[in-house]
Amino acid sequence: MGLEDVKEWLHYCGRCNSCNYIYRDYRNSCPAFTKFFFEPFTSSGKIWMALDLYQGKYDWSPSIVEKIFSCTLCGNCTVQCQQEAGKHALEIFEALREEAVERGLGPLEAQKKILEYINEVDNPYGDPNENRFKSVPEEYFNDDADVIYYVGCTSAFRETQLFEAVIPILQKLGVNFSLLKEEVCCGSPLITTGQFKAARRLAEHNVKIINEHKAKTVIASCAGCLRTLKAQYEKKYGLKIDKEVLHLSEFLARKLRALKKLYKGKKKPIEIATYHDPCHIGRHVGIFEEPRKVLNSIPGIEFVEIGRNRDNAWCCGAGAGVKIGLKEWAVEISEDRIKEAEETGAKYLVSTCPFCERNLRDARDALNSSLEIIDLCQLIRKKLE
Amino acid sequence: MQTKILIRSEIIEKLKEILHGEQYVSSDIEVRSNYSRDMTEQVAPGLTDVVVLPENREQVQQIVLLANREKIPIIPYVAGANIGGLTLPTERGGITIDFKRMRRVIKIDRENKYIVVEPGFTFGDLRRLFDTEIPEFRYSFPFSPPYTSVGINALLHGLGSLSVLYGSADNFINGLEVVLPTGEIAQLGNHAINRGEYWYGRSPLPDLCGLFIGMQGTTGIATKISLQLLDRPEILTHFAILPKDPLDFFGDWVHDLDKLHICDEIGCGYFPPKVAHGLLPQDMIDLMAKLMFMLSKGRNTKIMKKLWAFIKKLPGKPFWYVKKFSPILARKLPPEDEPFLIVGATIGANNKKLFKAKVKTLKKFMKKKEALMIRPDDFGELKPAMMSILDLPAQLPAFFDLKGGGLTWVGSYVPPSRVAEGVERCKEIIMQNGLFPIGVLRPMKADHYFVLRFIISYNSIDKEEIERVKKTLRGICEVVLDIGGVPYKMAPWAAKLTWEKGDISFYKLLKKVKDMMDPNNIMNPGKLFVLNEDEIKRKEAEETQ
Repeated sequence: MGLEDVKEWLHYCGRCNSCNYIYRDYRNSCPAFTKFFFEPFTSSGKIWMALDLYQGKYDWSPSIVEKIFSCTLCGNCTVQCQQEAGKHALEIFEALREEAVERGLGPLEAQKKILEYINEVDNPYGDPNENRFKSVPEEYFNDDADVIYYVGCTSAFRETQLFEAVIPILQKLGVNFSLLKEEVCCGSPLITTGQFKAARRLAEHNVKIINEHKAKTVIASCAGCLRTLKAQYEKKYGLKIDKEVLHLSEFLARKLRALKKLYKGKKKPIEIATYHDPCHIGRHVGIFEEPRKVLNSIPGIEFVEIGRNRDNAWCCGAGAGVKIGLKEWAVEISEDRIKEAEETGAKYLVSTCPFCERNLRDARDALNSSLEIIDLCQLIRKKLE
Repeated sequence: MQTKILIRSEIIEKLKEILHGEQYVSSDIEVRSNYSRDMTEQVAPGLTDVVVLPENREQVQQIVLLANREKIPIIPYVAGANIGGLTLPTERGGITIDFKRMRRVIKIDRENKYIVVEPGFTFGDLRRLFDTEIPEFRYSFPFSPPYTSVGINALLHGLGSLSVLYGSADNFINGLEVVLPTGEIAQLGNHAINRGEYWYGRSPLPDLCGLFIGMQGTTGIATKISLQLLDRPEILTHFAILPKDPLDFFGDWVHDLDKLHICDEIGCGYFPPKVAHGLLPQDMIDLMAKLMFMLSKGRNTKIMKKLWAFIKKLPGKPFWYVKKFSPILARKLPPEDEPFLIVGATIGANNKKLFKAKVKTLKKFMKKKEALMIRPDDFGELKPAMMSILDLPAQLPAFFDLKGGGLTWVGSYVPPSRVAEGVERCKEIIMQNGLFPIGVLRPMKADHYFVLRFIISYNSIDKEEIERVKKTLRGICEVVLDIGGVPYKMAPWAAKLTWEKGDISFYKLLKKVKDMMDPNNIMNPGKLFVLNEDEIKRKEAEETQ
């Protein structure tokens, strides 16, 4: 895939700039625009740049690559643009990335490590993949399970508190689940940094082991993994998972009755929580209400909506390789979100993505904020104690 | 593409010094190219050399001083969406100053009813300010995307939603702070006398703001703009009016309607149904098209009016019934390219009694003129969709989606007595060239002048179509000038036609002022001042004869 595949959309943008602001709300929507201001950092400016490149008006250069890879691919512009062309913006940006990689100019230096590590050990963190489930008892690997829990690299290697929160919840709900011993990275960090060819191997492997399992449902607690399994494999590689793929929040929303029973007798003092919609399950897949339903059902939690929410949500800044490639900038984006969460008076800023959680926590620390950044499952576990 | 940077590298280094680092200075080719084009058919003869993002007046002043010393062109920029090609560089290249970081509200004076803003402050920002902080006020919003500059719109004689009452947006300017092309800072308006305490007006001082209004950024840079705020009436409602005959409307009774002095706004959209795609539900578009088609056929008007009166008597919202029956009504639709006229009339009042009296007057008038008048409540569930068009600032996706990203126009102010003729002749030219007309028309300042603006949506990569677009625009501009009108935000080619048509003494005086203010011709060259010495002499000779 490259610009050739999206050429029919490259000339449709008239650059009215509406993509940079929330429709009929007028607050900023685009992190890159808010930080860098220059037109080619914006959605419309990138589309114009893509047209120039496609028409060969000038050569590719490192500064072009910088503009392409400073976008978090949050997709907020696709929501705010009222034109047909806007719906294709993410495809255009992904095509730009893929073409940059094809030409040997991308991704950013730090992002190249992702591929190195994945080629070596099947995860982007460089840890031996055998450590993925090192301390997990054998009973969690069950060929007869009804549900596969796809853990993902971030929960397995870094944000392990999420994984540790999900398991007891599933157990208490009586879910017959299994992890996948041969799980490897879903490929999301490669796909979003334009290295989608290199991710095919991972996709093929994951689809094979998932489809070989008897379970009918796959759940993921990571927003990036969910999007990749649910939407990207088929779109990018024509590989289809033959099971229902759900985010954990969707799965829990279906089990709300049983979940509520678990809370019985666990009354707690009222605490305010607000919710950050991760781009990967929100705008990219359309999961907005389920996490809220689950959050609202937790006793002792008063849910307050954050300013920009649902498909208008401000990106946490971690996505599409920005956290790896442009660390400080990723945290800067997140700082805006922390400030917005503070305005709600919340104690907890809840998310449903370990990658968002990590970046929001870094921003919280940078701002010396007292907000507690927590995943929905961790909060449930806490309230079940 | 000629990508060579014309200015010396030391200049770029100096700009980085002024802006405290590299982050807000760029001479990357993709940045220069992005800033050297716009949504119109116009092609910049060159590329800008460098784009800078100043944060304050002091930085702007330093940039201008540097540019003037080095005789480097300056191109002021906020959104680049003026549709006059006014931010395109010439073959001289230059420094594009993007004001996106200067987006602040400097002052809100509720008692004296004005705000002071920086040039990057947009209509979206203003809408949000009204929605969140000062709901008691309103302003004249243009029929354009939200992210264009409020101040620049005023400086370019923009039209807006209160133009019927107050005229073009320059009438809202209370005062300016400007950086002159030679680097001095000047305060213009009454705040210059009271040392910046009150930016409440331009009278009774000699009006030096005129040196910057309509000048397309050729005489300086406004770094602060004071704009009047208007009291927002407690009741404000939009009505849709479907006149039977567009030409009759523009030729005759829009002027009578204005004379009633009951409307805060009379905005006329003259466009084919396909322009509404994406804005309204499809059945609504089909229905409106059918209604307008039947009305325009005269003989059906009475049936339609009777039917409408009957439906309105039924319980519930009238458009619920109409929506139900629309598949039948819309069975035989008029051509999608055929333009129809729909007029938005806004009525405002501070009490119900006055509001009712105004509505009654409007209804009586519409009855006399045999026009169909639709109240917002009649739309029922479709009201939000219908009202969203009038909920300014507007977003008009169909303009770009229809053909492929290209949008251009000739906008003009014409004598009200000639507007009907203008509409007819422009429509013919547009349709003859295989394009479809999108007209935005409005009486200005109690019908002392009239907006005649035809927008052309086109495929931005179709070279043959672009040639037809150019031919059409020229034809429209000639009609405008022929009926005594003047184009506004005129593109260089339109400026040339305008000066050729006009009295050369006007141009000569304007040029004298420009040369005095900008001796090195650094401010937005290639705009407005498009006649060369030979052309001026020829014009003088012609006029002497």
